[in-house]
Amino acid sequence: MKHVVRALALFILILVVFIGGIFVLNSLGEEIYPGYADRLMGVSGHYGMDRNQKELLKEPKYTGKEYCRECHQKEYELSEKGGHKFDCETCHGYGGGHPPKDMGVENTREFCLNCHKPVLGRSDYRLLEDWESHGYLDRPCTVCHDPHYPWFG
Amino acid sequence: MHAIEGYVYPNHEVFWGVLIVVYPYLVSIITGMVTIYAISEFWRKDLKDAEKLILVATLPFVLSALLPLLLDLGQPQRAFEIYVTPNFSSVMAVFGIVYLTELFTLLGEMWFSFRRDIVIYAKNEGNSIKRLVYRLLTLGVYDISEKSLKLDHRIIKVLTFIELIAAWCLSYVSFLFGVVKSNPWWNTTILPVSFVFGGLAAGSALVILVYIIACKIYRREAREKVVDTIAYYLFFFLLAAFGLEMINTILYAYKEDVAWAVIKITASELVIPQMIVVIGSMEALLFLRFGRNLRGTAKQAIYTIVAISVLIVVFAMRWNMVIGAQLVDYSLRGFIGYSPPLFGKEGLLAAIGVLLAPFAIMAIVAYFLPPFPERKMAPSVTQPEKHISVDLAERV
Repeated sequence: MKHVVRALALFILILVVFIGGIFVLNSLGEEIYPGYADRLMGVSGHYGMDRNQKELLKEPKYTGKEYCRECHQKEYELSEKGGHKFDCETCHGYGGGHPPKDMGVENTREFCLNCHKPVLGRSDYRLLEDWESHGYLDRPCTVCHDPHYPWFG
Repeated sequence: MHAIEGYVYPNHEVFWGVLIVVYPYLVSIITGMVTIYAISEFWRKDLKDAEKLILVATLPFVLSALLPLLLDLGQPQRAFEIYVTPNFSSVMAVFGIVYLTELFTLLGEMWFSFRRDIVIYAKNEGNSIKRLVYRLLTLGVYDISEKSLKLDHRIIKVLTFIELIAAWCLSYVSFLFGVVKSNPWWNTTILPVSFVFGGLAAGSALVILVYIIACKIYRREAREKVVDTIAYYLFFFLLAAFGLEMINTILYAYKEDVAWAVIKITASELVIPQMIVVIGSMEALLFLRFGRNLRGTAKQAIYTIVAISVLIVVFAMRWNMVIGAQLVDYSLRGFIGYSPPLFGKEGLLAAIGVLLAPFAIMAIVAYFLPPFPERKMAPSVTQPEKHISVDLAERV
């Protein structure tokens, strides 16, 4: 009989410690648990790392027009004259890491036609009603139009 | 309806990998082992020889059932949070309560059935560290009179009853993983029943396997009566699991609504698991039916093959449920493929590690609590007292 009492006492002790632990941790708040365990593992925020911190860790990809101006003054001024006034990165891709990295260019016919094809709700652009037969079908638009200032004359 | 084929929603992917297959698998094995223990406790006295072995083998599985969940968590340091914030409206939170009931009743059962051995070891053990462990385990009571042992036996019966209920509730996670996805393929009422029977088959197969292997390790003869009795139950458990599983698949293949998805997916993506289920079950049922007539080593070899193939079959069933249900798109017009990565937290190697962990723990548990009473006790350092100098072998 004695051993049953002792086993029961041990079980109740474990139960009390366990439920007590739950209540204590609950009342201490999230800063203690899981906050403390998270800090030991080096994470913060509800879903691991804080999302602002996560964003700040990323290398910035897009640099903006003024970054290009530092070297390409001529193209910058030319593109400012017309109606496009695009960011350089619209056609050239992102400029992050550019001086060593090579820049590409998007000059396909389809890319220009994204805006210049008659599309519902885009009446304010210079539309090409004859887009299916305009110019040379197998060559990019930039053969005839200066890409930085596409207006003739 | 079948105008568009092969259409999958763009955000559809397999979120639950091979680890979530291992988790219900381990839990179903626990259900089966606990049920076999209850059968031996309440009905079949001829399983007495394997009783302690079943306890020693169940504890490692219960302990490692949480491993796949821990590995699956993105932030494992928050694993305790499910207990800190009890919530009865969440099925997964209730799992914690059922699991702890299972663990503590099992520990209680182990303590009460090994108590006599523990007391004898605490007095006779030569190794001082081991003796200290046994002394702590006795809780300071060295009373092993007939009266107290009778009381122990009565308490074990009560604990077994509670544990049986907890184990069957525990197996609900097996089908929870299919139902939560609410995929029409697995959204069926016979699923819980079919999965409990699958678990019972896997658990009995593992008991047979462990019993045969343990008898080899401890250099004793495996009793044919024990193996035969468990195999008798295994036959019906497997028959029920296989029958219900097949009825399920055939029913959905017959019904028009999801016929395309089910037939296409079982014919291409799930062809290997499905073949394993069909051929493996047939083979195991045949071997179980005709293995009974064999004798000696041939019988043991046949039953070992049966046990291994039943374990593989039930694993394939769990694979079909967890992975298969995720492969069918909600549009029911397309499906995707899945092959587990080798490395990483969700990989194949981690899953194999989780599957092997119970056997490593089993070796440790069996080191401290040998499941079979040894023929010769270790030479005693101190003279044993009169009432405990009983040869353990006599009790068997």
